[in-house]
Amino acid sequence: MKNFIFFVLIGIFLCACSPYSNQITREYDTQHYMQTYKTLQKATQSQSNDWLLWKMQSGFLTFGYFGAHFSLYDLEAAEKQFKIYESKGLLSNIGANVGSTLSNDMAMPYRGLIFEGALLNFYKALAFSSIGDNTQARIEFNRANDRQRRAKEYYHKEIQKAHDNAVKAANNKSKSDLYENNTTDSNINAILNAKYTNLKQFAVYKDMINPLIPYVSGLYFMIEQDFTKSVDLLKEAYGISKAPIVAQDMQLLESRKGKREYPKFTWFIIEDGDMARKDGFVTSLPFAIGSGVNAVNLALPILLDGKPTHTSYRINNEEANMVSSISNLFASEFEKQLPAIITRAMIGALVKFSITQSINEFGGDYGAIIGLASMIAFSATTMADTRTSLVLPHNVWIARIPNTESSLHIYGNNVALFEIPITNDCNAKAMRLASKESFDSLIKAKPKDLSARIELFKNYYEGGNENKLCASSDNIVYMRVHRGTVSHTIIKGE
Amino acid sequence: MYLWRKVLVAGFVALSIAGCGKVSYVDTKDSAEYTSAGIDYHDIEAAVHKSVQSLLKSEYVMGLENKQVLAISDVVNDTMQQVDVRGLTSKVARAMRDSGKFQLTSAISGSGGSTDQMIYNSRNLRDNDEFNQYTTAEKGTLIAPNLSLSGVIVQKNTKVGSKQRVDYSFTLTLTNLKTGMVEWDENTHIIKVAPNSKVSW
Repeated sequence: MKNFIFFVLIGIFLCACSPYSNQITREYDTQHYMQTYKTLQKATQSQSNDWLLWKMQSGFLTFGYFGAHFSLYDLEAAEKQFKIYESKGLLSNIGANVGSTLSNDMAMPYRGLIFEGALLNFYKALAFSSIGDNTQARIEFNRANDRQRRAKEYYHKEIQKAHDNAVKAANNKSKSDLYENNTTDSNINAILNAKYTNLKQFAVYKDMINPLIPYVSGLYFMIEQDFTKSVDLLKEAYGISKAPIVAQDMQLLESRKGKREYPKFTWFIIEDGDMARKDGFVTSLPFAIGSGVNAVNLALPILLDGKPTHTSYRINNEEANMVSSISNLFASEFEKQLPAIITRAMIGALVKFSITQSINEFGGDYGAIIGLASMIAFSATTMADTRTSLVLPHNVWIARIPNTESSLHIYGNNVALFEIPITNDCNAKAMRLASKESFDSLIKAKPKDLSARIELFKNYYEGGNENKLCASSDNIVYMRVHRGTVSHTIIKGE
Repeated sequence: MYLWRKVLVAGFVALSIAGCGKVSYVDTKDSAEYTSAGIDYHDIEAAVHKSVQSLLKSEYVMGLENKQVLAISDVVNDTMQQVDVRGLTSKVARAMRDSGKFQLTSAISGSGGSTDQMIYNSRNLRDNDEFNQYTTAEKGTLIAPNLSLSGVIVQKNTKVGSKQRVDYSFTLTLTNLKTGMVEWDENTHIIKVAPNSKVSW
């Protein structure tokens, strides 16, 4: 009886579900962003396996919904942790602890994906740009682009290493070649071909380069008149996205060379919808165990389609171009990680199967009952790691409008969403800087007062600090369109 | 019981101190062995040394007869890390002043230098009755620079086999502010190789 209770308790304990996951998803999906922020802050008060995931979401959420310059605090903290995981290997926990295969991958720390790491630097760059800190913005743009450059090579090496480490660790534990024999490339490919046939059509970014990053970097450096640097980045973005707006910006850059005065423009970066999310499924596969073949259950993650809010955007009469699909970028990196994820799921399933079988055989009079109890407990823990960035968009759209227009009207699927005038009042950057300083002081003085932070976010927008654009400067406006919500933050311009 | 508690606390404190590891000084000349893929003291020193030697031996400086007034202009940090740009320019400017052929102005500067705001604050005292007006700075006493020192530090990372090659390029340029002509420039390269997993920031 004691053993029975022990296994049931283990089952509950090993479930390894995040206590905040459902709450954060529900709050965000129902557009309660302030409440989502509070829950995310609560979830990151102490270290946990999901700390990086929630810290990143808090940074992304703050950037998109409350003002770019307020997000630096969370983005910096998240990047610091991401860098630690990156140097150890983002997949290094695949073979780190065979014991934890008794549970599921959610019992391991969320280490992030390279595209998320690059976005951390990208959003930091935009946040620094919004307060006019061009030195830091340049550093962060450089980091974001370099992270992307290294991504492909990174996975090439890491996946093989993760597979070998996982098999080695499992084999050492059991002193058998059970794991090596069942996790061959052909076994993994069989699962990929049978269960992930649709993934290939989404995993289009083979080199895992998000064209949005070189594009906006190139745009920023063009505005900063660093034309040599800008043109290389724009070329890279055009090569991947083939978006006409990028080619038009390359022409604009050429027209600006050697001139001190030229017509000014406003660019809109519109982040739309919900990025693809993971779901889990359990499948039964035949494994060679001993002299026979047994069907063993394993849990794997699968991608659900991303959800657009609108499928077209227009600003005045300018149609926006889709420059990047974050869902497809996620799918591309997920595809790279899958062999390692499948290896671990196979090892986990085999470990659990072997334990249940041993209990059945050697458990004496109660062997069958305890074996059944352990099987129930293990079944309860057979879950895929479905942790995903919730706050990121599905697609990113870009449009450019000359500053000669007096007012900019933004339409999604031809429905008016938002309007902002272009004026000669050009002091918004100073206001952003002042509010950033107030935010920093508040965090120092009252680090736990989340209501005061939210009040500050509200007051900043209600004070009219983001409700006009400067006619005499190039401007970049970031917009977030999510279900019925439209928010914006100005990331370049006076 | 109380004594035991004290012993335990003392034990934990001793263990935690022992576990902290010893902090030690490293002489700057020996610190190269603790190098990273990033820009460190030795890289800045190497760039400054090469640039200053090149400048002082240049035809332009050898031919100077009068002291030139130098302003530090923009020095762009185009790397992926925090670089003490002002530390770099101040070392170069100091070596230039030491040659006896240059003077540095603090009245005007770009991002690579620093402007002493007190120069302007003190001029605001001209209408202040509390100050003896004979001791305030007169109008037209600031000396305009005739040379500008600007620069850029560039980082380029490339994959070489299983490693990352990190190329740093320090470029300094001395420009004649009246004519716009470049009087001197110098480029210093520093190349490092690091494992793929090590980021250089």
